[in-house]
Amino acid sequence: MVKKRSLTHKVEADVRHHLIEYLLLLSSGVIFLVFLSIFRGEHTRQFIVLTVFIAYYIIWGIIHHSRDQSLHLKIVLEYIIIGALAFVLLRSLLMA
Amino acid sequence: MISYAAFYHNSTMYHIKHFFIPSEKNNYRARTLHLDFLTALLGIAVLLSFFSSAQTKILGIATNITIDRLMEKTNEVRGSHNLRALKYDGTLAHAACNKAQDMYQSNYWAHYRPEDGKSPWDFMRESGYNYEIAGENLAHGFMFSDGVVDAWMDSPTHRDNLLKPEYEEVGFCVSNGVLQNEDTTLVVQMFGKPLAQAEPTTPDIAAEKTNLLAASDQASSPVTKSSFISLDKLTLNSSLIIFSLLLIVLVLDLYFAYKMGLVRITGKHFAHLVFLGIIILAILIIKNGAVL
Repeated sequence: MVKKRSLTHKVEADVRHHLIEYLLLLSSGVIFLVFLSIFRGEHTRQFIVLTVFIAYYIIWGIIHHSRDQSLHLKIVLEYIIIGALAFVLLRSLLMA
Repeated sequence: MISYAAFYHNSTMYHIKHFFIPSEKNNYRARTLHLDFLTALLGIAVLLSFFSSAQTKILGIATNITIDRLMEKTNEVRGSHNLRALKYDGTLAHAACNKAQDMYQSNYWAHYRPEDGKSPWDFMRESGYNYEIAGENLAHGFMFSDGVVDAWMDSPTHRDNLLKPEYEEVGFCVSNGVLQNEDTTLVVQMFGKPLAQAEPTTPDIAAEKTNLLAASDQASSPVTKSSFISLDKLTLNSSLIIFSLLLIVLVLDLYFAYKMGLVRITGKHFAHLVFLGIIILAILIIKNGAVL
């Protein structure tokens, strides 16, 4: 009988398998937040940092799935729409 | 007679469930994560963004930071430390507005004007405010009045100013303009304890506020109170709701897909969760500006 792995183990296995990629995503997120804090009150600079991070996230998604051999148009669109949603809402907060 | 199963299948709960939990009815993926639903969310975001930006452009005012709320919040924090409430002083407010306009015109973000070292005390004296003791707090880039006072309370030097027992009066200026090539809302708060002989008249608060508006320069516009619905606040709250909803749906979808042993071609939930978590933290950073 094959024991079913727990959800945590499944996610953990995926993260371990793509450790460097996930570390890159996490560290870029931390750097993004640090820059946002440094540029507190400077909305133009925060907007530039935001744009770079969202573009990075979309590219990360494409490269990650490409390496994972699971790249599909629907997946690319998923990353683009989630990224665009974050971009539009945060832009309106920064440029208000 | 309708059976429970039929009732359940026709109920609202049954339909709502498909937005959160993968099943045969939603092609084994939470409906909220379908591309058409995400696109609809994006459409709502674009509309919100459009109306929010139109409000700012058309009205040309900061609708969220108001002198009334700053005054109320300042006295709230003083009250919570058993300190007496400060009185609004029109002369101090006038000095604060002169300082704000000077910062815009000379393009600096500092307590002292870089060219000649002109101080906040000079602005107070020029406005006719003679003080025994005085102080100044500055802020810019904030979205809400409460955020400004909270940020001052988090900074030891600004906190000392807010909670100084000697102060008796306060004046504010909330002014929109361009500072260091950026559209911003500047908040200048001036505190003081007037010299005993230097208070021949106690100006009426309402009258002073009117004078303040009338005397405003074209380079900036002071804001006392706004009667408009704040679309910024709506956008901020909507953003937090949308991203939190997506986080919840991703967790539920991941959990139930695992339970059902589904194999699907989708984006990586863990990556989306990391991204959305970072974006929520970013929103919390963005809503606050800088203090000096």
